[in-house]
Amino acid sequence: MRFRPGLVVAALAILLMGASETRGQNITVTNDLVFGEVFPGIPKTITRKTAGSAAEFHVSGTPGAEISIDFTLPTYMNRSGYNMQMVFTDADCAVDSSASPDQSNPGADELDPWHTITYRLGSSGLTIWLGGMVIPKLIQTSGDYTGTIVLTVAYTGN
Amino acid sequence: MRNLCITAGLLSVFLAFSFARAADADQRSEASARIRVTATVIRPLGLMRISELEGRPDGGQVEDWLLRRPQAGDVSVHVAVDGETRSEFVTDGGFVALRSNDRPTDLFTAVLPAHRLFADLPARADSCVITVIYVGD
Repeated sequence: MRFRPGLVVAALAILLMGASETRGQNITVTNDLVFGEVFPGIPKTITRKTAGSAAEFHVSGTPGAEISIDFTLPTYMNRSGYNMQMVFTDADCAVDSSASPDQSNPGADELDPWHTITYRLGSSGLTIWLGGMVIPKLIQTSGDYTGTIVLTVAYTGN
Repeated sequence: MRNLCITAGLLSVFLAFSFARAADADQRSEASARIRVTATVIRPLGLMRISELEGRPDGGQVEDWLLRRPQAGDVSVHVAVDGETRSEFVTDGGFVALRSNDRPTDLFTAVLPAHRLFADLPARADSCVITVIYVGD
């Protein structure tokens, strides 16, 4: 059988193609950030560990790939012309990339949601929790207030 | 034939790098999600102060409110001193003891045949907010 360098190159190329296969990433919102009932003049905090009330996201993608996590956080909640102050501290975020994410004991805790967070996806992706505080005024108009948090993730290439 | 193989090989390398670049571009792509933040502000029932501040031997203050309730029913009483929940400072007209040092952040629930609430404030309190809501009749 004759040695064919072209076939060898082609085989290497096919191997290279297989090695560079990646998966796109996706975010699933598991839970909104819910403060429930609040009283005028009394701040209320939902911690990142408050199951069912803290914001919870799940990011899927290429296992082992590093991603950047950026939040766009509101400073007020709104209700038809009225607003109510919100506060996010530099320790209100937590993440866990284990197969069984544990909100009470996450893999990385007290992360700063105001700055970019980098973390590697686990085999099951990454779960992100976020807490916060709402500060109603002493004379806060009653009713339902809403706000929006935007979470953006991107592969860093590392 | 040899040239054909080399050409095919080079073409394959080109395609491989093209796919690799596309995959790399996919790795840098972003994903984003929006979530809602919700809260409901409760309208408190009216409270009317019926006595001015009175001095206490330890330097604290006693305040006395009349709870304006149009009908009988259970109420929850929430007390915040200087913005902090302090349930241990409230008693209910001397009938139902609302002191609860072991539950400093819980709401009280009590039937109030007596409509007077007393807030026993610490000495250096700057503000006290009492919030009362119905929880059922």
